[in-house]
Amino acid sequence: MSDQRIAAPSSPDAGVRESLTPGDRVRSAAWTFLTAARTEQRAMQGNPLVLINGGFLPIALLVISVETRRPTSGRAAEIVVSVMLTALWACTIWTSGGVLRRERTYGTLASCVCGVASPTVILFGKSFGATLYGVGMTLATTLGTVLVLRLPVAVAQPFWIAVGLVIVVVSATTLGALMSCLFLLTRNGLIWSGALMYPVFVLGGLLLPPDVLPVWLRWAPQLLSLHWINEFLSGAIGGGLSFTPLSVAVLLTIVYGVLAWFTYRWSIDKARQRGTLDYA
Amino acid sequence: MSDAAIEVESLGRTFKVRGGQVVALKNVDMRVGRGEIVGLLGSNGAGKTTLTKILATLLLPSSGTARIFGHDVTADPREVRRMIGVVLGGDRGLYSKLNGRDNLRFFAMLAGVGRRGLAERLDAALDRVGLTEVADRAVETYSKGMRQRLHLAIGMINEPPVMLLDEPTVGLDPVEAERLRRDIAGLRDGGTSVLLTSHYLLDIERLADRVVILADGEAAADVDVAEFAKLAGYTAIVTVRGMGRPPEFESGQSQFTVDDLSESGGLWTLRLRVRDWSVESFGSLGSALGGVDILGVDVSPLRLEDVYSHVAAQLAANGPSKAGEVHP
Repeated sequence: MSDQRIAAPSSPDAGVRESLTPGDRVRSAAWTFLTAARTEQRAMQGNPLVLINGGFLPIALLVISVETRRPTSGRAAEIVVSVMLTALWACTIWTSGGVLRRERTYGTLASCVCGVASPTVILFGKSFGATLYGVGMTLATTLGTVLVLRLPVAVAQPFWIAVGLVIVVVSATTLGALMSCLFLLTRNGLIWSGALMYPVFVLGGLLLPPDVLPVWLRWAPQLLSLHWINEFLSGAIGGGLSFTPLSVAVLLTIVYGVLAWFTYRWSIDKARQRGTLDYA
Repeated sequence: MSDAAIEVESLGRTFKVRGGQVVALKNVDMRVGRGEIVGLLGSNGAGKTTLTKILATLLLPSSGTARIFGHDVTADPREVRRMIGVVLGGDRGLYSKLNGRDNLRFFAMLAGVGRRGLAERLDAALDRVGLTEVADRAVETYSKGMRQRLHLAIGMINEPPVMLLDEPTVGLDPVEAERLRRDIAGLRDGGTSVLLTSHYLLDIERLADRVVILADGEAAADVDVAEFAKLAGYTAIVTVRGMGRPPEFESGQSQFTVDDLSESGGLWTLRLRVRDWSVESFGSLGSALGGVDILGVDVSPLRLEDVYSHVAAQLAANGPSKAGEVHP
């Protein structure tokens, strides 16, 4: 151990902080965002939820879908995109939605929300890191399976498929951040997230087609960006591109983001009032 | 700018529970000066964690004020966070899959440390706590002591003028605990103010300048360590074992109090509390034991643990409202 003396503390009298230019603030926020994203990705290595949803699920769904009847190239693309979306959504929504749950498990939640750096930027950064990790795993598995099964995938609008996937990532990040707030408000967030898992899957059309839902519930999928992205991507595959579903998906993503921003700040205040934050 | 590092005035906190409310803190007043280490003592449920959480801005007070260098924890939490470092005992609070350096980098970012010069700062912090060699190993492979030293490095990374330490030596072996105490003592030498919560009275004895005792949410005593040691009313316990007739101590012998006398099969054991070690008390002990058949004598200096047990027993009997009785 070094014999050097502990460094002198920063002066408490330096009450007035150095004023930062808007450029400095943006650079600082970008660094915070990227550091949070990178930390989250490393912390998630080997996470069983990602391995099952991003690794196992696409393989299982693709094998089941194409082995029963060999599809044509147009139909194969549709199946691949549907499987990829299902896996992406299942994987990312729970990895990004579980960001604060994991922080609570690690005992780092209080540090993340009561630090000097903006807790909102940290939440979005971590949610983005978790989403990218899930997306990377899902895309790699899906593409690998397509190659192994030698599926004749042909896409009419590959650029717009890529755009749709970017919207999936951003949308999952913002919705995940919104859902994460649950873990600030209650120590029973894990139980709540487990209870919400299947309702979200059913309403999102992952387990059942939306038209199977009772009439009084059919409005619910309209609130999920996944529903609109699915519609947009189906058009992009078949050549019947429509920008209305893409616009609605983008709008919903913005709404999730704004809601997450305000809900998160409100949740931190509530958590400080109720005393649900613990250091470890 | 306030001269006190930590100022707590009439601080109160209640928690709503089903069927009523629990008072965790009521009207607590305390102060930690610049460069001072204050030990916070109290039994489980006394309010130590609640007070620490309020100072760390994790919890809002129900009444009263708490300030760090004049910045109110409720009105100005961000500025307060710049001025504090928090170190907790235990295994949690780290990313176990990440290595030590990456953990430190992330927490440095949380503490508002900028990118410029960060690498050098991380190296210096790791070197300071002796973790340079293992900085690139995953934290899940660290021993408890190494994790605790990493916690200390994290708490100090922004070089805060105030440190809140909660059970920093819990679960450490004696060598690791002593190493950590040296690091904490170094904080004071560097001018940092420290609020130290610990159940290990040895930590308080070695490190603290002053002791605040919380009981049932109230500050029951606030004394310097030297005064605290006097609260028990004695400085050592002398245990004498002998055979035959035990010695008799006159009631007027003010230097000694008989704590216990047990006899069995012609052998006896006498425990005496020594109020103050002096030439007179040695002389008195010698004369009282003269002519008695002594088999052995054992002298145990008073430990802070004994003082705290004594004070805690008084508080339990009288309640914090009678705290004046334990004030010096």
